[in-house]
Amino acid sequence: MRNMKTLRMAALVIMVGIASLFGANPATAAGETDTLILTAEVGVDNYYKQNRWTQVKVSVTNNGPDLQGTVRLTHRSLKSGMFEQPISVASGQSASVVLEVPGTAINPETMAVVMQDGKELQKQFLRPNAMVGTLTATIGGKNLFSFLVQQTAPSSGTTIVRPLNESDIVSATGMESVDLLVVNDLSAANLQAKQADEIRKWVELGGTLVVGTKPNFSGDAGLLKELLPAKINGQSSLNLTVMNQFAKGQPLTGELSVATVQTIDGRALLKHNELPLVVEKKFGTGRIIQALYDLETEPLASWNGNTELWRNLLGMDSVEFDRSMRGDTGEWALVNASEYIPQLKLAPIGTVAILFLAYLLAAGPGIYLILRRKDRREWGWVALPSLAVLLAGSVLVVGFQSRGSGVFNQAAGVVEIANPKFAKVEAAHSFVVTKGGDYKVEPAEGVYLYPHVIGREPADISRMVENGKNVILYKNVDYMTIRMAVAKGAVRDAGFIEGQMKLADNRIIGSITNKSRFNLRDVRLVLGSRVLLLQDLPVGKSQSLTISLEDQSGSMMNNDRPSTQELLPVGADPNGLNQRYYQLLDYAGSRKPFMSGRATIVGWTEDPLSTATITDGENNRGALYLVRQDLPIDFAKGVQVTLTNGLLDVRVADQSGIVDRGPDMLPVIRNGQMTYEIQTPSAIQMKVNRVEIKLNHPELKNLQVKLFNRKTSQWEDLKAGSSLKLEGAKLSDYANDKNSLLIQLANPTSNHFITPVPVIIFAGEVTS
Amino acid sequence: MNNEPWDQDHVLPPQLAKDLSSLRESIHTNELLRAKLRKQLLTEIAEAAGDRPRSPDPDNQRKQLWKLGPAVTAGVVLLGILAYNLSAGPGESQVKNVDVIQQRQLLTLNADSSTMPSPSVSSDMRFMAYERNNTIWIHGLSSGSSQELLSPPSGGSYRDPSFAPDGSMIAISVRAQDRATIATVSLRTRELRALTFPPPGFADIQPAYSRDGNYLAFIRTKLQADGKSHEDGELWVMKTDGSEAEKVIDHALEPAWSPDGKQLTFSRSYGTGPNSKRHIMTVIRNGTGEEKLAEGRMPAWSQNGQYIAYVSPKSEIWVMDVSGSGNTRLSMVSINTETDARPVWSGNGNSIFFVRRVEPSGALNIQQLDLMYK
Repeated sequence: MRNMKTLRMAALVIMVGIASLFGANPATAAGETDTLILTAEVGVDNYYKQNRWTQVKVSVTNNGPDLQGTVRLTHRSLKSGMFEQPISVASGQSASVVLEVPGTAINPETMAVVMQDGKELQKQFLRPNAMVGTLTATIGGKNLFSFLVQQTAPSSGTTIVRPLNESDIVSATGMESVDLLVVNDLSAANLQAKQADEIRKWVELGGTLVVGTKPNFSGDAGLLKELLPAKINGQSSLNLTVMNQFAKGQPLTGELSVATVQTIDGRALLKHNELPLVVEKKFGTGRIIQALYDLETEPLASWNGNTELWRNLLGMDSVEFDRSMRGDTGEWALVNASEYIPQLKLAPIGTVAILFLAYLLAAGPGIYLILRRKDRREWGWVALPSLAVLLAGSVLVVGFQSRGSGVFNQAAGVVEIANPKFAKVEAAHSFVVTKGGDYKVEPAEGVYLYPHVIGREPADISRMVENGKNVILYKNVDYMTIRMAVAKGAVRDAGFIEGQMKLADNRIIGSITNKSRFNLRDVRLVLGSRVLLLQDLPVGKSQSLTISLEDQSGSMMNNDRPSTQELLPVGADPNGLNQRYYQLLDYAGSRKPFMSGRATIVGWTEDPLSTATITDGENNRGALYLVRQDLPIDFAKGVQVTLTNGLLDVRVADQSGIVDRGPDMLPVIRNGQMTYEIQTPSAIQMKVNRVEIKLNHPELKNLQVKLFNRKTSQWEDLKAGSSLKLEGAKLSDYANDKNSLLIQLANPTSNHFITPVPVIIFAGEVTS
Repeated sequence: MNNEPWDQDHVLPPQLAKDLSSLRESIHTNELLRAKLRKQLLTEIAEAAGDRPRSPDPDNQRKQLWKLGPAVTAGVVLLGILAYNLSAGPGESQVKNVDVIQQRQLLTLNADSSTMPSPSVSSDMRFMAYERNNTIWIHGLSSGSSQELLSPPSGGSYRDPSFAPDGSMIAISVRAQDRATIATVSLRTRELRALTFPPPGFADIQPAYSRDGNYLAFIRTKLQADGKSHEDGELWVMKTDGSEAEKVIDHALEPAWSPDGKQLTFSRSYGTGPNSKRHIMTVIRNGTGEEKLAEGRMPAWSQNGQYIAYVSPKSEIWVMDVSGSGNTRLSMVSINTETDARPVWSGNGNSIFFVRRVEPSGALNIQQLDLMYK
């Protein structure tokens, strides 16, 4: 009996499921679908990143009458639109629109809908592939850079390479999901002025542009000429066998035509003798890498050594790059940090309690005694309500006086100063409107602005272009409600922090001068994994530095990254809002790890930075920005230095069994291993006389730690929790001429363990 | 007009007065009777409503009392416990056992310091300050990196760092040629501000912040020729801006505050020469209520107010409750080669930091004891 009932239930469930499947088919939902053909593409060939903005290109082919409507991105369960753009397609024609959306707003239930006069004409679900890793877009050249494609374990990074049409480049915001853009022939690329400008902005905001150089390149790179690092003056040829020196691969033969350079605005990443082959230039917070040869020339283009060569050139195996690819903390961290509105802070609870008690006494015994004395107790009918109205009125008046009646515009963000003329700002704004109505938010010059949407939040929000600026319109906003927006872009007048520092005899010696526009407090100098406390740096202040970096042997230092704890301000936060600092640090560190291989100044400022303005708004007190800037360090020749993690080059030489990412984006492995190659910085040459390996990190106790003996070609076991010192002849058994050590962390079990980079200290003399 | 009855009777004719008297007696009797009846009626009504026991049955009363007995006893016991806890100050609180979960070494200082560095740990456990090479160093407890807070003064030294409870300031003793003063230094600005101005030949040393950050205790003693050793001196307290300085007691060294700021602990030397012994003392802030607790030195009051960590005569770290009982050893040293000193509690009270000198190298290890309360 029970079995029959179960069978009936199962049959019912199956029928309902089948019915819902049919019901859910969007193609059958609309009657007018035959005349409109709709396609939608997310990001680059449907690849995008969830914590970045991306673009959705919607193409419509109209086989019916002329269409004047809108394209809307929405979810199955929402009636109102989320992002919308007008579209007009003549009969028999095709047209497309590109919508910029946050990755968080996209999921398999997101659909593109063509609307006309409030009626749905056609809809199409998106086919999004959210990815973690490196998204590479290529312009021109079939299979260009396809050697970078790398599919690894789930939750580990992948490298996707997909072609991109020039016409699909709409804005730097829409390209935020793209990490690498490869264009072999800039002069042949069909870029309009607007597209070139957006690519320029995309690079400034952190993108990496790789360009090739065709034979007999005239130097005319069209609209992006200014970006090129090399000024070409001729042509040379290179025996391709040389390439086998740079990476392992099949033997190459033949000649390669290489452009010769007159000057390099940057540095050579790869050169043979004095002939540069690949050069690099920093631009804003991004970079341009120019190969001085044709990336499509065979047999080099199909060479299997290209993967290793270019992953090295791009630094894709470095721990720093790896973490920055995966560690994106969403913009929610910025938004949360901006939601602190000091004007809305309530009076102290004690004050409120005393006032309330006073009111109760006045309303009760006070009024009774007065009226009794006057023998007018019947007046109580009027006196009591009057007192209540008086109190309410007083509260309102005091409230309006202290808070004002405008719109509170509160901001929090991260400012990364790249050079005296460019700083990248990423900020969130929270707007609290004290009166209802429509509000418009405008970005500052050079800033992209978009509304912060949470999941499926529909909206009273629309984003539109007005006078060349992306503005946000909030419609019918209720009074005393909050709206959020994220602003990213360039600040051209931020100034910079001038630093002249050299590392000598284990001391940082030099000076820093705050030539930026920000008054900085709680300033830290992050030097690898070290965090040094500096004095506050108001605008214009100079500070001389003589900081001892003497290694404290046996210290508890067990992390290869600087501690966030020590980047927080000292002293109690008067507002009790330490969480704001954590969120900004988390966001900044995930976008670009603080261990950047050089010195980084990190400080805090409350100085306002108007990245966005709102109707009737005020830039209010309480803004908070984290300001960071990398500073060069001069490693003086002939001096003794002690370098540790953060100042060393660390890359993943080999790995297997990654199943997840743990704290600080550390790989979590099971039945696998992580092999780290750790060496002194490539920028300097150093005669190392002592290496110390510290295995203090508690997680290392779960792993088999091994050190590669280059002399015997054997892996030797190390004991977790211990320290190992290598000196003299013993050192040469393990380190090669590049001062490189190989350390393997193995987990042969099926348990999940994180794999921290062991702390290594190289001590020696800088030779060049 | 006088309305007293006696007066009325006095003016009435005798017969009328007699009748009136009889009538009064009758009324009085009736009133008594009526009152009695009313009382009886009310009792019956109450009994009918079940509010009161029907009758004062002695057996029933005994049973009721028997039922109430346990509750009353429990109440008395609870009140007793409460009264005991309330009356017993921290000096008489129940002794708990403290166990060391682990002992670890934070950093090793090279053997070029001839004095024990005085560590002080910020209450948020982010930084430790210690003295070394005549100045104050800051050590990041997470990153493990150390740096000088101030450049060493020429001909002088900075000593005895003490973190303010909010971690933004450090109180130090600034030693010059002829005196030593108490000063504060801001971690953010490095601004140095002198708070005391002792006469020449005197040294203000060993500043200690009260838990609320409003007061500093320090010792004023005679400046010794070597500038390192100290004789007992006067224990003073003052506001952290240097105002309202007042002496608490004589013959003291190494002061530390109780968490509530009402008491201070310190060490005092008894006896002279090789027979002298140092003892841990407590005193109420107004200088009264002095108590001797145990033989030892360098006391540090725990965050919960229940314990005092100190250095035993054998130079080991011990802990006792504030009454001086329940002494428990926390660290062990190898005789003749190791000496432990300068215990300080972490902000959360779950760890003690101390300095271990190792001979013959003279290396100074700053160690951490993680504690568990049972």
